[in-house]
Amino acid sequence: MLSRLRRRTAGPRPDPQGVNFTSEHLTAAKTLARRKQVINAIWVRIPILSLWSGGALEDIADNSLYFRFVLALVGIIWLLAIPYEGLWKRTYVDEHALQPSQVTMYFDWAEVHKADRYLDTLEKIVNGTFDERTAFLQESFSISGLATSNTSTSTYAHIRPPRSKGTETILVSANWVSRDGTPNLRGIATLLALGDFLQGQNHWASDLVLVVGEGYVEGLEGFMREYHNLFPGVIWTGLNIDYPGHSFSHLGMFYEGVNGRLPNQDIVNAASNVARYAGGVLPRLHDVVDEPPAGFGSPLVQNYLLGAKHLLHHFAFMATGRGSAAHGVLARHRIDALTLYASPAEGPHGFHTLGRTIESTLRSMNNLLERLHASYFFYLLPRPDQFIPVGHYLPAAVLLGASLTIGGFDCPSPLEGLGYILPAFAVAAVAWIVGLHPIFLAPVPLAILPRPQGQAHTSAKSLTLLFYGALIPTLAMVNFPQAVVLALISLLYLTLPKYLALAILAIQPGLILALAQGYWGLDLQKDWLAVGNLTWPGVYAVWLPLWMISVVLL
Amino acid sequence: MIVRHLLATLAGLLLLLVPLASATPEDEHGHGHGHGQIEPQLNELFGNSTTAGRHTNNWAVLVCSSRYWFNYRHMANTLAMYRTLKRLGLPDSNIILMLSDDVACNARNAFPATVYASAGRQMDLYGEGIEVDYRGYEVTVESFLRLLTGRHEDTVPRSKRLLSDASSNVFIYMTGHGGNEFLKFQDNEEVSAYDVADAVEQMWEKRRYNKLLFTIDTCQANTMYSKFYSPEITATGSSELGENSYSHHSDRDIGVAVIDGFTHYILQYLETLDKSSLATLRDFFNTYDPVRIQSHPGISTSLSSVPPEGLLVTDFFGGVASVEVVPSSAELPALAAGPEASAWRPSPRRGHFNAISAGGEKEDGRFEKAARPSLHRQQGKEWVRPLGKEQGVAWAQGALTALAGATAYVTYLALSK
Repeated sequence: MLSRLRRRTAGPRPDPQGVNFTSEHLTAAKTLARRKQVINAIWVRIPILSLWSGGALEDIADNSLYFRFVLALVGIIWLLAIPYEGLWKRTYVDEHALQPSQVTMYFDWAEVHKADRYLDTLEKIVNGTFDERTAFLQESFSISGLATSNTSTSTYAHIRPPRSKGTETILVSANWVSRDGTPNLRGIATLLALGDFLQGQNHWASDLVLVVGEGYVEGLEGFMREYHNLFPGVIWTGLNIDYPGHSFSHLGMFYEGVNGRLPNQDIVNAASNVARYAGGVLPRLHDVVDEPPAGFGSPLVQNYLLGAKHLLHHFAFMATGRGSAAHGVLARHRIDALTLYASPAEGPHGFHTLGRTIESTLRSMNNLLERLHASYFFYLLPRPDQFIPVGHYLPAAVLLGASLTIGGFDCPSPLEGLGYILPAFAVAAVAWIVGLHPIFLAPVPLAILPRPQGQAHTSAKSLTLLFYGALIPTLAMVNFPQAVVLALISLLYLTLPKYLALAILAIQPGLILALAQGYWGLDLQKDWLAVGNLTWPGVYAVWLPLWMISVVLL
Repeated sequence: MIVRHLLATLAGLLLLLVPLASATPEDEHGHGHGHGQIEPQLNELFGNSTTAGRHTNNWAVLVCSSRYWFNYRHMANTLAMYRTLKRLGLPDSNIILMLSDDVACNARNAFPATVYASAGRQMDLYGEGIEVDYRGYEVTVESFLRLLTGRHEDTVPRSKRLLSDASSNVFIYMTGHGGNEFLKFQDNEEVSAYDVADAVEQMWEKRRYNKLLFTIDTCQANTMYSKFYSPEITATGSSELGENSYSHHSDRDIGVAVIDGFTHYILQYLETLDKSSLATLRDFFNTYDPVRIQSHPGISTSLSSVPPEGLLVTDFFGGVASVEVVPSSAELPALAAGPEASAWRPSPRRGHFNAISAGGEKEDGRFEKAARPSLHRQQGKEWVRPLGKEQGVAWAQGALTALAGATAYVTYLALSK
């Protein structure tokens, strides 16, 4: 295809003196000539690249393969370079309205005492029925003077400050189950104490809604689905409290939402700033210890490994599309939210620190005059107070995608090729409708799907490369880790030598998913049904067809 | 139609020429002590020269151009400046206050209906006697430029107009968010340094100021006065091109910054002055300290004929109550002839000039108190007019003028019917 583009002549240059040409024609002609030069320049350099990559691949006739190899190599090197400090920048709060850590905090020992008393009762009813628990919560909220009620899986209270117009709302939640799987009693006790504390303060410009959800996310998700039948205000920002232990040493910021949607970076920056300077507790990303690993000598290597550790945690949440904590379900409702995780430890922090951090963070959120928009929505956080802007990491996925796309340029008969690809998508669609687990599709490519030969094989392979080559950079914009995983899978399936590819294809996607479920409890199907994680349909729409086509194309 | 207009114009010309023509011979004789003033008075009327001691009143335009709660400090800057001006004696009627937001009543303000410019909140700047002339969305680039140039809709009340004249010293203070040669209004539009310079030039051409002090506190503020080209402007700003102007401090209960550094230190200095202070603008500018302000304030005096050491701080900050005393001999002959005979009426101006209108002396108390005794004194002392031929000539001139005027008017009426 590249050679066809190159052979196409642009025709004679227009005569500037001629009457038939306007200045736009001349400009267009210049642009065309320049493009042709660029294509020629690339074309001329391809043999140089092939010379450089040596004799190991000389048996491969197609020149473009060398170019693809270089692109994939650069892409992978770029990917590996992401944890390198040189690509990072320091975070900063971009939205002026937030003004973090600038207020006096009034949450004090009286509130801590109240939280302790709430905790006493919560410990008694933690194993009770939903009715018992919601009765206690509603009674407590009522005594504080709040309007309170419940849905089938959650209890909520509504704080209506005297001068709030009620058009915007800040949501604060705590769920019965912590992300550890243990009861989140102190989180709920903090929430009850907050209800009592915030009621009657006059400087709130937004309403506040406090939610105690059943389970880990189910209650909060249920509440969100009913929210608009219950409240008029729009929720801009949310804060989820997770405090499972007795005391805590650090405050973990869990920010990834469902389907890889990230909250505006300002909310992470503001909450970290408040935790550090107002609350007096060091923030962490997730629960990753922010200390360079010992025994690697150079600080450069140490920081690289530390950055990689943070990013791997991030990638694990993002690639599977799961929210990193309960606040993740708010992301689907376009709420910029965060979970504050009180990292269990012997000390020194407790209700006092957490309450003050939450109060000050809420004051910042209260200052907002419009939705968070100033800072980044696409970013990687390699360490607390450091971020990687989209322009520094996106090229890795684009290069990997481009290396696939270029392989698809030679497509002699697109229609014929399509005939071999569409059945794979159709089979996956049928399996989705019927509700068949991916593992049962293992015999399909061998039994049902036709195997293309000759020109049809080239065309089918090119179309697959074109499709996935286009999909990867597109996906990378919204969910970079997922796109990287897809790029690596595509490269392994489609570009490796035959027997190596066969070995990899033998590990069927369904098998991988079943193993992941068995070892790490990663149940994508349940996630899809409970909180709408699109990775499960994505497996049927993208991964399974790719696997089947790759098997057929072997 | 054309004939009628021509005739009316001719009649008007005649009206003008009669007193001038009759005055000329006397000047040639060299003893018309009053009529030798015609030349300077014409200059005074139509020229643009500034004469020493002409300054009789002060005006101030205070502009806070930014909205939103987190820009609390800009409202506080402006209100603190407003308070200082009033403390130094400038009446509310001479202050045009533009506030683009009402932080006092913002739901986020834990102290409703107050604005403070310092942590600790000792002095409420929004308490009593605050007259905001332009508030909220009224504060626009258009309204600001209209205010300066005096090009208002007929319906705009006098309290919203800058009613300054050639005897007024005008102080303009602006604060908000700005950049290189612009200042943002309402987070929505911008006024450029060129716009302000052109508006001030119009003010000069329309004789709307005697001297002007332009002060601005914003990022890259000094660029905002860099385009001025009209005379008699002294300008100062908070920061150079490429520099930010920073807030000074926050109040942790209000939760936002309450004042900007430059304004804070200006006000701190002004607080040491009183109405009778003889401190000059040089003393004022010498208090600038780039280290404390955290930016490099700029001063521009090249357009002013008087150096800053020749201008008092109170020439701009504060009330001035000087009265312009005009000897009767300095009046135009038609006027000197007496109000009854005069066909020419001076245009209404502020101050005691208002009082000089045909037959209207007693309507205005100020005339009786100030102007009439001075006339008596004049008549009793060096400006006593000799009776006789000269006064007879003056009367004759007046009568002739009135007659010519009446003839012209009657002719015009007859023709236009």
